Amino acid sequence: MMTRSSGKPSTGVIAEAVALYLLDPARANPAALEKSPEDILTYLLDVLAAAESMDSLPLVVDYLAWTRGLLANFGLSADDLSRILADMAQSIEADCGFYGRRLADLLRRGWQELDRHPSNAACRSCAGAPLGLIAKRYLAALMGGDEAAAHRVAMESLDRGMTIDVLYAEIVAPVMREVGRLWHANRITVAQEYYISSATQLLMAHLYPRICATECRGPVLVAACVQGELHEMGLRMVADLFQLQGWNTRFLGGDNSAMVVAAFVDHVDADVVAISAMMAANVPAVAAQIAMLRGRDKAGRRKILVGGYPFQVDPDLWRRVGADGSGGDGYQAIEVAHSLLQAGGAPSLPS
Amino acid sequence: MSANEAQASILWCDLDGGILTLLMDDLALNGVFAVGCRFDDRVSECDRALAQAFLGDLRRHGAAFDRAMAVDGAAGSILFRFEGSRVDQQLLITIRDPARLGFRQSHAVLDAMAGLNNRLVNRHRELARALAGVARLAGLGPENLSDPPPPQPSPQLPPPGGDRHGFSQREQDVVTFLLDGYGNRPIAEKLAIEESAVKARLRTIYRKLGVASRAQAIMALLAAKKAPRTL
Repeated sequence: MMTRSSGKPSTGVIAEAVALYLLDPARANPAALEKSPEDILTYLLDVLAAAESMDSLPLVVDYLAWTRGLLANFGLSADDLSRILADMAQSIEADCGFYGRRLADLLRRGWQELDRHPSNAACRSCAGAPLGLIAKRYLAALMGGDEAAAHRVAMESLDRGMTIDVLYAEIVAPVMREVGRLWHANRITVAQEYYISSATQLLMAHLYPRICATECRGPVLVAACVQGELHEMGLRMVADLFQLQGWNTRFLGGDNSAMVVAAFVDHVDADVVAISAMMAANVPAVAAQIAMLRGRDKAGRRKILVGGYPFQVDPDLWRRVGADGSGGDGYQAIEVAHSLLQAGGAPSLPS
Repeated sequence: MSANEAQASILWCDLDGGILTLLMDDLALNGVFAVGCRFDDRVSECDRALAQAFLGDLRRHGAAFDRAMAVDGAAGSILFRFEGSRVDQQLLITIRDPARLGFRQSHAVLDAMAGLNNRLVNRHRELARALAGVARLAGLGPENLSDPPPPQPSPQLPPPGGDRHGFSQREQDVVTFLLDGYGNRPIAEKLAIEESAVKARLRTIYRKLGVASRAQAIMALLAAKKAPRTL
């Protein structure tokens, strides 16, 4: 979030313009009413601020692609959005001086970059392979509000020999991506999205006796989402994969204050710390968390991984937040962690 | 967020509709509740039939603590009905069919519910880790855990020459005094080392036991001592 001293511009007029489209009775539907245009545009300002501080144009381009797709579902054309964003850029420039000019420039460059792509080009979160057959059955059960049936689908797969890591990779992760896509396409409400997430958390909770049956005498991993980040299921799966590989994992979940994470990392003497953010605006918090961890690790022994959606959108971003590495998924993260520890002479990697 | 949303609350009730308790800490929700007041007293007249039906469901299912509702504290209207499932004394909440209940949008309540879920799942994960650790220390095979384990990678062998936890001699000394109930300073005096060194040894001991606290360490060590294959 931009600070007051940087002169945060008002989005009221712009939001009102967008609201005319979204709240038009001809277009209104229950899913539309929960998508506040002011929220969307206010968050764009947060994304711009984060992207500016991290020098990341890809974060802006991807968020604009996401916004363009979302608003197109309510009948807002790309040309209309272009005009709104041009007004917004002018407003930022007028309100925020030199800093505002930098943000406005970033916004314009992002929009120009996106303009080179086809008008139906999706953001990364809305792209991806179609669901497999088992994942479709699992999601269909949850869309019908029947978590017991969904859990049966998953547990039967395990009974037939599917391992937990494959269950995560082929059912849980793709279904959660699909749920995000369905919300973006106005096909489900945010409450339905939360229901499906909760039911999936319940499934994962049932798996913990199996996951934790792995003896963990390997290095210590602390996994945490930064402050403000509530999307924690992706990191939870990564932590579980580490656990299944014999690592001693401590998962702190979402929305952790930097100080709490740093103190816990010291307390358990972590070998590797995995920091996650899903929302682009939370990337500066990742950088701040890493700076704090580095400041307390005078010997420089501790290795820090980062992950989450922004680091897939901008593959080089992990360097700029000060991490030692990043993995596109849990398997890659484990590989990177092993490499980092071996390079640092760590003696006790699990087999 | 509207003023109404700021006053939304999650209620936990007994079978008679009496409010027993509610988990308000860190939920980012405001509201003051008197334990013992009636559930349906919190609900506006237009939603009272729904609240009564909800209570009827509670009675039929015989579950007092695994149902909850979110109520707008200012208007008294029902925002969401939640359902939960017990997992080893932990509670996981899900929203049940919110659209059919005619819910009003409240991201604050949804976020609170998601946050509560996350913490409960995390606690369950830590509990599963601790139980698995204790089972291993007690010499119980994974078959004694609540679910059968899948095939897993080979665990790393404990270091040669040590005990089954891989404790060094100095760590074993600390464990002995720990189990006798000594604090850090007395242990340091007994062993003629700095208190900071005791803390460092304890951190290593916790890590080797796979626990996070002194209490958990003592529990794990006592469980191991009672097992047929003792320390």
